[in-house]
Amino acid sequence: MGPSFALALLSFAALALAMRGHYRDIFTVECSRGRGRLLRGAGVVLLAASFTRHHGVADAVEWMIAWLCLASMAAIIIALLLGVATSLRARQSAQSNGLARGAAAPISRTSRNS
Amino acid sequence: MKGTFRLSMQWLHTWVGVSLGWILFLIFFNGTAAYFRQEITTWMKPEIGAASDPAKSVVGAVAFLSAKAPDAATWTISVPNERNPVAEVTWRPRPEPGAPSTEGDEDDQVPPDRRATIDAKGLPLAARETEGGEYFYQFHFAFRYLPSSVSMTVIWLASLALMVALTTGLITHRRIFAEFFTLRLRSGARSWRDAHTMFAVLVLPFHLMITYTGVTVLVFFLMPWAVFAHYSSPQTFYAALGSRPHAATLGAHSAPLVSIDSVLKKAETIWNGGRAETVRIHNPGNELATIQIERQTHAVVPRGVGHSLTFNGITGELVQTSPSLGAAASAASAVFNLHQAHFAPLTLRWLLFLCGVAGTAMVATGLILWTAKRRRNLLNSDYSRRGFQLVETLNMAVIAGYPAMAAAYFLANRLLPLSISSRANVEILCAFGCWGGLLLWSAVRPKRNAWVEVLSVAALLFLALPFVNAATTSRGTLGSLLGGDALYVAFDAVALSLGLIFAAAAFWLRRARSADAPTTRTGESRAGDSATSASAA
Repeated sequence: MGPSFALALLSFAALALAMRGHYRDIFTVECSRGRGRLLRGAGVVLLAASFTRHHGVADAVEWMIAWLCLASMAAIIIALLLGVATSLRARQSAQSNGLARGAAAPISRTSRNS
Repeated sequence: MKGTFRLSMQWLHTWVGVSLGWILFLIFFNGTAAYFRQEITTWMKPEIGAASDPAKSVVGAVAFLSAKAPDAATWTISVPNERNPVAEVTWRPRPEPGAPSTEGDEDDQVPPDRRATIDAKGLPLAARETEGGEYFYQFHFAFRYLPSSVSMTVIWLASLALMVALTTGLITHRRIFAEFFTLRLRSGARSWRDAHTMFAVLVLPFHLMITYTGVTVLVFFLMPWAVFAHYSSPQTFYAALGSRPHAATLGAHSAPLVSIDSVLKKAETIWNGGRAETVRIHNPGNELATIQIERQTHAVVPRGVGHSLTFNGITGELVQTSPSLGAAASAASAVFNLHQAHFAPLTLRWLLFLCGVAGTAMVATGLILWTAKRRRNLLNSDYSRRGFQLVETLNMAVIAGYPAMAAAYFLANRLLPLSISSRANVEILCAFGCWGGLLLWSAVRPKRNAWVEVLSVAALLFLALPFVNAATTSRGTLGSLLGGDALYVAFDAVALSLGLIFAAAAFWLRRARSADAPTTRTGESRAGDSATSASAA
């Protein structure tokens, strides 16, 4: 089940990044329409590949249950990672904004004085 | 109605959830633990050694039962397998003339004085008295110390409530696809909402499956009229459902039982190498003795004929082969198997366990969300605090207190003297005592401190488990790791993980409270607010 789980992780990562909001939160730039489409397509293909890799599980019903469970777990992991990454990115940008404001303050004071 | 359909559904979702949420938490927590009930029982009996040869154990079990209960009506032997390294035996006495038969009773309802464990050498094992994982399994559908009719009615109501909550939650959630992966941390109530949605939506197939099958499993309890119309008693119905033949009438002569080893081999040949799961011997020692052997199965629906084989107990001849299941029986079997995961191999069992953890987290985050959304109302002097405080107290006692109780149960198993009478009950009393204490503590302490304290207790109890286990048995983490004892390693790893999660939650809450303290003017409400956001973080 390992390869199937890895493919599900990659698939959900691609599908999540295909969403404009998440892409912007992570890369701080807008996702182009073409890139979004590519990520979505890759996500769907990877998810299908994840479902079809059922080596070692002979029973179709058992595999369906196992795959739904492992896909759910993969989706939770991606949501958690995305949440943490977005939070860290927001903190980073808040810190850099604070630094920029701090650096700008003496300049503005100087310009006001002059 | 609340103006619009969506608002009505939201109202229903909220109040159905908050009124039965604590019961649902207990059901989810116990059900999740019950996925490993056999493994928990093995861990709680450290006297059980390495896996045994199934045939040797069954031969030993028959020898033991021949000496211990020669006049019993039925002997039941669970054959050792990859989950249970030893044979468990139970026996039923022959009912007095005129007394009702106990044939339809489940094996787990047999009292402790009619049970025994047989080790790898086929000898009775002097294992400590404990309910083990059965406690979690039983508490999943019947609350301890309550009449079963009352507790099953409550469980049924909670199952229906969960079905309603899932449906209304889906209707209420407007941006289900747009916010599919959304988890906004450090955003107070919004974080709790995101977490609640994440654990609900991303694991939705599991939640729907487990809720639907859970409600269906209770169908005979909820709608018993069909059973009453067709069977003389519920026991007769359950015996028929389990395809267990009634013990035949006794013959006039006694006769020695055929070699069980040869019958097992015959069954395995018929099944093309399939393994036996349960052996039932009716009328042992009598000329009309029969041996019924049920096959171990890893399929959701047992297929084909011969799932259960019945042999003549004296000659060893095959006398009956169970027919393949009909459509209704197959559907019922699939529902039961899906809910109990009886078919699931180890990896799938772990996946189902993790989905169960997600379900427990879904209920917990939903309950906390209720308080997080209403906390700002505390600033309003007209707002009644009583209901809020009741919910907050119960949240603490259940969400942090019940896991602490589970850890106390495991610790009691290791620390109580082996010689005390009714040891299994004392273990559970210790756990309930711990839970009661934490409930009281949550009620009397200021809420700003109580969350941190109850979470810390849960963390300490879980973190102590591997050390107490290592100190009281010869199967500590390091030794188990070196010896390849996966069960003990996994148990310690889960205990440590839970301990660290509770410790991290307590740490974050405490830090947020300290950071908030100098600016706090309104006491509990502000501190609680920060606690909420910190936990979300």
